[in-house]
Amino acid sequence: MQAIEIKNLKKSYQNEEAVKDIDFYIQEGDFFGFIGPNGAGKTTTIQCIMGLLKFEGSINIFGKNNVKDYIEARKLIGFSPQEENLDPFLNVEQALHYTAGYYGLKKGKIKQRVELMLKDFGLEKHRKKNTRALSGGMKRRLLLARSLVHDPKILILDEPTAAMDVELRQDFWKLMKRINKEGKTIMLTSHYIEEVEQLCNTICIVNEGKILAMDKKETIMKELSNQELKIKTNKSVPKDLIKDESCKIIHEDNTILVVGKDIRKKANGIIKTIEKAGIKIEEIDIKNESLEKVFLRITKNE
Amino acid sequence: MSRTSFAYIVKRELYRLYTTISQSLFPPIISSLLFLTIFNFVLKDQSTIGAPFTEFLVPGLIMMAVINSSFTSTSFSLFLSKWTKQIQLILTTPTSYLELVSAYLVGATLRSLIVSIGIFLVTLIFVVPSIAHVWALLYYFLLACMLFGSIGIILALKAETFEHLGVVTTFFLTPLTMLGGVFYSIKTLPIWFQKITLLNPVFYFVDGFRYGLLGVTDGPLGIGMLVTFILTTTTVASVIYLMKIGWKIRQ
Repeated sequence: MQAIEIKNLKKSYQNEEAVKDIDFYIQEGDFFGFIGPNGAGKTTTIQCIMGLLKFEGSINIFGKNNVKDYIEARKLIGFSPQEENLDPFLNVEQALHYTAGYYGLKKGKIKQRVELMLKDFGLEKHRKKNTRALSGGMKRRLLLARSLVHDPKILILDEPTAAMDVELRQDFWKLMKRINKEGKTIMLTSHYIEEVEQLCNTICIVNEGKILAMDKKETIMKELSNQELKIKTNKSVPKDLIKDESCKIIHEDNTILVVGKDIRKKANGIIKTIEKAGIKIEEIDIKNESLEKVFLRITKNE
Repeated sequence: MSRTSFAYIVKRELYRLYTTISQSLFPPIISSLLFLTIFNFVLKDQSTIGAPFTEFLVPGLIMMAVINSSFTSTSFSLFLSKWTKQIQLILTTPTSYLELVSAYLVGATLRSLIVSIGIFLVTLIFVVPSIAHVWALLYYFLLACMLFGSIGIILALKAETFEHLGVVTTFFLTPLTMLGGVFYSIKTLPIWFQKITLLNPVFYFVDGFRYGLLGVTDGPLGIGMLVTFILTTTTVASVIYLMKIGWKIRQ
């Protein structure tokens, strides 16, 4: 079943189009990475899903329209926003307790869920601390705990690990993997492409309000990522020795870097050409481009 | 309507009142106490529209506090929620716009009730007021809470800075309250000023509430009931509509 289904989504601010007629869906149980540079339309799309913005088009959450059936649709989503929006009058425990109440949970269930969230996010020691007194990382943890307190089927995370230190981020990754394994659908935007690469199964790259690429991570990597062949030699390779229009060839002192598609197949030929020219090869390294490089190349049109 | 969501927003409003008690509850009670102390010494023996002046003053002071408390409760709470973006949390929960408006207005009503009881208890130091018409007390109290609570919501939606809230209080609400017959009978005013006062909605709330407490009235009671009813229902309806379309909170 489709957890989120977006059709013909358009959103403009005054005369500026932030989201330009996009369609996509997220399958139930998927870990969906939604990435793009600043101003690409990620947060706008998320805010449309959450009903925080008016928009053209339609958004369904497990078949419930998020405008007409907004009460039912919102029960299914937990949201951790990019900007901290904790209640300054409440402490950690109360922030979770009240949020569960806003979602309509019964008293007994609220207590149980609040305790679980405090434990899962390591907030037990800070339960009586006012939200204003928390550090940036703690506030992030609380936002995440708050988004899960009503046990939603979908979790939408907008830059959830900003302000988190490395250790906390690793813990967060583990927790998100576990939550996804337990069956929750997760939509994640992050500036840390490495994070998206680590966690997500499906990746959607957006820029200037349009979807540039969307598919399973493996497919994206297979179809869009280049390979890099790095050959270290005892002397510099003449610039006209290796000619291949389909590849990008970079010469750096005694190193030659060949970037392009199907480099593994071409590697043998390149190596033989170099050796035939009497140049000794000292080191060979071949690797796939990271998602970050794919992302930069696609979004910057490199 | 999900009752728990509504109940938790009201509960949160009351908790906010509790945490800011020194700013929200004590000032109206202390200022009423000061007014009563001063006027009790200065004008103790005077009678106004058939009631001793201190007794005449009590309903006006309570209504003034009700108006200010209702307005401040909703305007400050909602504006602060906008300011801290906490409103986004509420807007992403399964809370209907009707529930949201009702919760803010109930919160304002409860706050005004607590303040009113506080002032009433303070007045017992000076007078023991009898209650002439309970229905009128309830009618004007509830309508004042709804009207000024709704005005507070509209203003909080419109305001972009805290200063905007202050401007309305200073230039509109305080003058309307002070010139609404809290401290005097409008019959002591020149005819032209009496006619102007009849255009001030606060006057009808003060006068009607005074009728409920003392059984005396300064202006036309029937017209007052009608004016306050029409004004309140149209303003509450406007607030519900504005929340429904997400005016200034959903771009």
